[in-house]
Amino acid sequence: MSKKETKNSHFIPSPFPTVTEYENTFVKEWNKNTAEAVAEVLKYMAQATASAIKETKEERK
Amino acid sequence: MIFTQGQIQDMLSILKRYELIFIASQLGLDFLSQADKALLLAAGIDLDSYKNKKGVIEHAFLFGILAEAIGDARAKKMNYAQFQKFLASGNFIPLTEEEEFALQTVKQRAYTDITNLGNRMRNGLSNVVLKNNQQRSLMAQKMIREKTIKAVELRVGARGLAADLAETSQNWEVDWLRISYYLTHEAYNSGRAQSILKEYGADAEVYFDVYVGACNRCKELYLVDPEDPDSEPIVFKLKDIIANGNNIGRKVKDWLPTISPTHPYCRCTINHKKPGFAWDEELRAFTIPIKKKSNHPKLKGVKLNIKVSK
Repeated sequence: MSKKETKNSHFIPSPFPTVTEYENTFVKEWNKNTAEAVAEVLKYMAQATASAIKETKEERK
Repeated sequence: MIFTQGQIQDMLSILKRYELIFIASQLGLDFLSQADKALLLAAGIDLDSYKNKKGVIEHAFLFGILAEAIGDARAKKMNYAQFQKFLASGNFIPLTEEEEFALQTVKQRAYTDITNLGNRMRNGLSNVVLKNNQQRSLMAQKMIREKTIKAVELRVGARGLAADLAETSQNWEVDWLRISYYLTHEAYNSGRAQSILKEYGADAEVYFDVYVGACNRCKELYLVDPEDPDSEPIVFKLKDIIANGNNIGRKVKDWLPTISPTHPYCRCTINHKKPGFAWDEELRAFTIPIKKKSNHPKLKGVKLNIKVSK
């Protein structure tokens, strides 16, 4: 069982549908936001790597 | 690929920007400093789109007030979309100054936890990149010595870095799960407590719903008989619970009954105990009217036979 699943199982579901829905929304909003941030960081890394490769090739010429 | 300090700073500022966007959308623009706003404006973010926006923390607080006011049975029939529609209708009674203060307090807690996690994420990213730089140090030395480097070596390093970052970000998700459940439940319970305070005052009696599956410490704190899951709950004065603050930083043995979740992933929910009612095990609520007994010596043992006629 993964760490995430272990943590999840400790939380008792709410008997209020509204509570469950806004909790899920809050979790998802952050995760979506973080995923976008990480994607942008990875894009930055890829661009920096591509620039370094280009510079290396130009230096060789 | 060896990243320079300037490039690391650029990557950290990307994470910071997204953290600020989340704060603006969930807590409001009041929680951003001028420097924060400037950073977002420079990135082309329209700050006006976050004006007067209620985030989930505020929704949780308001739903707590509503649930306590209309009763749990009715609140359980409502879904999130219906609740949001109700808020948009303008029928929700405006918050009092005390309620507004309590809401700001839970939002400040949320701000602290979100920014703490944001700092941990930036530290995590920084460590991942620095670790990569160390691992690629032989390549860097070769680069300096021979002024040569193969493109494939640069690519391999970048791939490893991306994999490390993906793994680290999974830990952030676990952290966020714990934080988000704590924050939303704190806001919800605070809303309920404020509703009780407004309606019945600080001397009001309260108890906690301890759901099946609750931890032993919560059973000890909130139930008369911790061994019995259907036990009558312990009744507290609201003012005493408020005075207990929260359990952050306290050892488990020192935990106190609190409006804030007793511990992360705690679901125990504050309720008002109406005076004159005893505990009903089946309904798990204080609903059995208590018959009043007179202490007057002349009335002891006297049975009244009253006939009502027109």
